[in-house]
Amino acid sequence: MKKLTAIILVSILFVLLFINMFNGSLNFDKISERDADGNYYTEQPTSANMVTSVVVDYRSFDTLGEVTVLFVSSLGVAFVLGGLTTRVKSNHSQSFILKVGVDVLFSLIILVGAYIFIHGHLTPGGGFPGGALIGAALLLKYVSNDTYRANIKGFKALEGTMGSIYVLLGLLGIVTGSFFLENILDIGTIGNLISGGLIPIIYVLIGLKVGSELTGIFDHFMNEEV
Amino acid sequence: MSLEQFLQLDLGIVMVVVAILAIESKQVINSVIYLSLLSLLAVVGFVLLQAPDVAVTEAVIGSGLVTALFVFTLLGVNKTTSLKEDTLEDLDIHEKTQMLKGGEVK
Amino acid sequence: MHIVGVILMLVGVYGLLTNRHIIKMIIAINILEIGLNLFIISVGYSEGLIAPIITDINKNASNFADPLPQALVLTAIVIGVGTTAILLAVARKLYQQYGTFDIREMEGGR
Repeated sequence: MKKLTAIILVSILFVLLFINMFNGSLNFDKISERDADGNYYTEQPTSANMVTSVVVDYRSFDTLGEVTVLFVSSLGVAFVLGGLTTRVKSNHSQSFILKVGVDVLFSLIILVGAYIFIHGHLTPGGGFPGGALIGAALLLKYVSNDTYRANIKGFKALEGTMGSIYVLLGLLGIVTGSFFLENILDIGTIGNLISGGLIPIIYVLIGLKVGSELTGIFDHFMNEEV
Repeated sequence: MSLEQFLQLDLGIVMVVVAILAIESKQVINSVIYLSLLSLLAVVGFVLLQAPDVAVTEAVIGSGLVTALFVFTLLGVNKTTSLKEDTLEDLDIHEKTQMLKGGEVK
Repeated sequence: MHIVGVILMLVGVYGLLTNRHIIKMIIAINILEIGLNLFIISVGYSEGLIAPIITDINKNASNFADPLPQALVLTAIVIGVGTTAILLAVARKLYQQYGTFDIREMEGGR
């Protein structure tokens, strides 16, 4: 499509958006005052981090859907790039300082990632950035060393186990007579490390699952067939 | 205009400029670097809108993982087969001097 | 900040319409997603609100920013990464098959 046609179409879209969104009928300044759902979430939070209590406790089914979407995307990458088995060799020689430095930093980065998803209900963060940080630590190992391959079978087993435990914890809610994915342990005082019922357990599961999935995706990307 | 509104306006203008540069640049590797810069500015935007959870998630995912995925896709591409609109700029300086001397491009 | 989000979305749509290189189209999709997330969070914010985390200092405050759009955007960012990963895998396979990233030179294109 030529650039002039694209500019005309995009400006028509912009004018239509301006007419419907910014003409004063949708009052963006006051939307947080009159939102009844927002008030419910901020007045009875189940954990100190209110976003965590929305993601894991009140809207836990959406989080299960997101975990499924990540699993399907990891499956898709494995189908498309599955037949490649050897590492991509780079043109220049590997740097020794980088290899030793990464070996020192690797355990620190995993420690920071684990801290982020263990304290997900007290500080900002949660399962998703913690797991992504673990995936990034393994990516660093792949970048610095030309012949490194992680233990992919172990990571895939870990990913499957964590996802199944999440669904089983949800079914436990039905077994005790209430709805699916209900918070069955008691809440405790808001602000302690052990509080919020099932919330820290679910974030640990999600953190480990996301970390293993991203490691699997990076392993498929760094391979080629000879 | 208060300080907060001024910061948001400033950040907004820089983000739009970087996005237009990412779309219109000639080489693909430049667009990938501009995308990483846009993600960093979006993290600052999320902090100014009082959303620290989203800021940490976008910082970890946008700066490290997405940029690495793009670079590793472009890593195994042969440099001399590219689009018709940017043929000479994709060769690096070594190959350009060889081509100007009249020899073969490796 | 609403207007910045809308303009970024429109820049992303423009980039998707005019480029021929597949990697640049994937970059335009990512710009669209960043603009969308910025717009959704800017709906839940107005002047003078603070971050939705309960600490010792603000136990009894009542002007927290809305946590519901932030929860939705947290999901959307991670789904964006999954989409980008699978798009890049398919783009790499297309390069192996046709030898180019240009969509007009592939078989079956315009």
